[in-house]
Amino acid sequence: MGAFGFLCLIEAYRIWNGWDGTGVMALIVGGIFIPLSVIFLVFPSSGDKSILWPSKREWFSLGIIGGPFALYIFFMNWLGYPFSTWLFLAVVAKYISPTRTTRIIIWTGMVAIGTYVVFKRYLMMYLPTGFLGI
Amino acid sequence: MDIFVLLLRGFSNALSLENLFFALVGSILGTLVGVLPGIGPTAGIAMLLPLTTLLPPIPAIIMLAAIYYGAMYGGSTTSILMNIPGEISSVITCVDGHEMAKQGRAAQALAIAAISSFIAGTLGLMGLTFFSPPLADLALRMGPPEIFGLVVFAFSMVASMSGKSLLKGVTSAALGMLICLVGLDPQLGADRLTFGSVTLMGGLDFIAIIMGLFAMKEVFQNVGARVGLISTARLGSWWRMIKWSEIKQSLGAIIRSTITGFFLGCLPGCTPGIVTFMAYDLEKKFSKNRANFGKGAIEGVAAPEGANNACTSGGFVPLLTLGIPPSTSLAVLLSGLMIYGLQPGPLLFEKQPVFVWTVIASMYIGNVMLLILNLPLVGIWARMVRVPYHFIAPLILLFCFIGTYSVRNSFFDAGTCLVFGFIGLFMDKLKIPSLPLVLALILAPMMEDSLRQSISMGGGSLAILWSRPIALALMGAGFLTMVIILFGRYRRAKAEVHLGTEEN
Repeated sequence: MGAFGFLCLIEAYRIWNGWDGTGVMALIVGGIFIPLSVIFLVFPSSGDKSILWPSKREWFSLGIIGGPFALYIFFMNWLGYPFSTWLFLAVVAKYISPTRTTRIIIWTGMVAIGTYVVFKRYLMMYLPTGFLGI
Repeated sequence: MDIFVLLLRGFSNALSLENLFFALVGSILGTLVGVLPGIGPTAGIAMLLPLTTLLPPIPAIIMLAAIYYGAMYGGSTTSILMNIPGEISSVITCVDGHEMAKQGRAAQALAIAAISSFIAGTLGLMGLTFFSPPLADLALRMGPPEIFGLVVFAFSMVASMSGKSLLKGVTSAALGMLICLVGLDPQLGADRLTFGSVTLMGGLDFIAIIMGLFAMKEVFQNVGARVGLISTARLGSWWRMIKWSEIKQSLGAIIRSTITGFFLGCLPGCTPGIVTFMAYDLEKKFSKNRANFGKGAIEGVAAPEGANNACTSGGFVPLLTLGIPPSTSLAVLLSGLMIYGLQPGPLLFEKQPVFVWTVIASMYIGNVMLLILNLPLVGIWARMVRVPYHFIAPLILLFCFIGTYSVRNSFFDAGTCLVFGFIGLFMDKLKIPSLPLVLALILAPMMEDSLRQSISMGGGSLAILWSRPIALALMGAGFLTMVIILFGRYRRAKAEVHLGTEEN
């Protein structure tokens, strides 16, 4: 928190061009973070027993959802919306769903095509076309 | 001419078969746009604006206004059922609305949202009909120092949204302010906290942040806890969706939020986001049921939804009388008016009375249509909480992507959503409330603009902030609210300590 405060103060100094200028907000935010960090330093809340950190299973869930989501947005430009969406949904559903793989493949494919039709065809939204060209 | 006569003429025009048809089409399209996560009223109107250019001016504007209203109505659906706030004004509805859905009261939450929207929307329209000129005058008196005063007052809400630890609430708000610093300065274009990155120059998208903090976090938590259904509680018959006693219980909240929403909606720059937060906070202080706020209180849904719709009606006051759009969605609507050569402003009521009163009358009709359309759907939507979570979770993730990506066609925004999903989860674990962060996201840009403009107006001096009575009164009210809340916290803590000593 102290780091955030100093970062804001340094930024305020860098861009300072008067009280009605760009740096005033950075100065205010820095001015809030520095006393906050001092208060947390003086009264640490590390002894707070009510804080429950994620369990092993929760960490694994974070990875199994966050990982494919990150890959989904990273590769969508190459794979295109319908194909990458289908893959992404199928991977996530496979992990969290007790349903059979064939059923997962069918319903995720239907969702990918359905959303593609609604958002791309009817609502004219720009979605990446990828190697399939659709 | 008498307002009643003009309004009756407006009704006689609006009730023509053609205008009724376009009001209905607009209401349906708006509701669909509102229900689809990520497509808020602004994007909805912008996307459907080209459709209306094929129509004559009156039906076109009736349809656009209906789309706007419809989107406001529909926005609460995903917030309540899936904890996905599609736009800024639905964030606070998630708090109690989704809690109600988890308790098996999704139908009640959706029904009260629709009823509250209808009552507040209609009362707001009455305000627009009868008090437009004096309110427009009031709106003109609100300069940057007064807006700054309002922002300071609104920031006092952090104290009541902080939960058990005020320090954690302030930390959360400070984080929100820090996030708002990233990007180009809105007035001079200088870059702040971008570290040389061109992508960061566009700033962090608000929708991506709130979707991450609410929807994405919810998926992480529920999948980690292997949740089977959003709600395991037994759902009642769909036709018994809401009891009269529940409507009666929420009536006070609806009226109070209508007044708050309408008057604040008249002020330029006061977006529905701020208004819903203020209405919720006000209700939390005045409601008899205040202990249940955040745990599924029905007033916690009625208040923000009512304020949102009243603010929508209030927003038409500066738009029609001064030509000032108070929010981005109304700015898009203004462009729709201008396509037809209509120039909103003080002369619009004199030069185009038929147009203005027909549009106002059609809004009354649109509100009734939306209630009739939405109430029967409530039971069907409510069943969604019984769909197994392993089907819902991938869909929420997909809507998070579409909702964030569609704003600026940016993969970076989708990534931001993911990162804020993690941040939201850890804030939850550390017991840091996320609402002050969202509040700061809304208020910080307003605060910066109004503060800098005020200092410029005062020739570089801050004295202008306390030399204007309205600004001073608002800041004083904010300070007083903060003191009252802190004193209340101190008394509660003292009582708890006293109770603990007696038990020992």
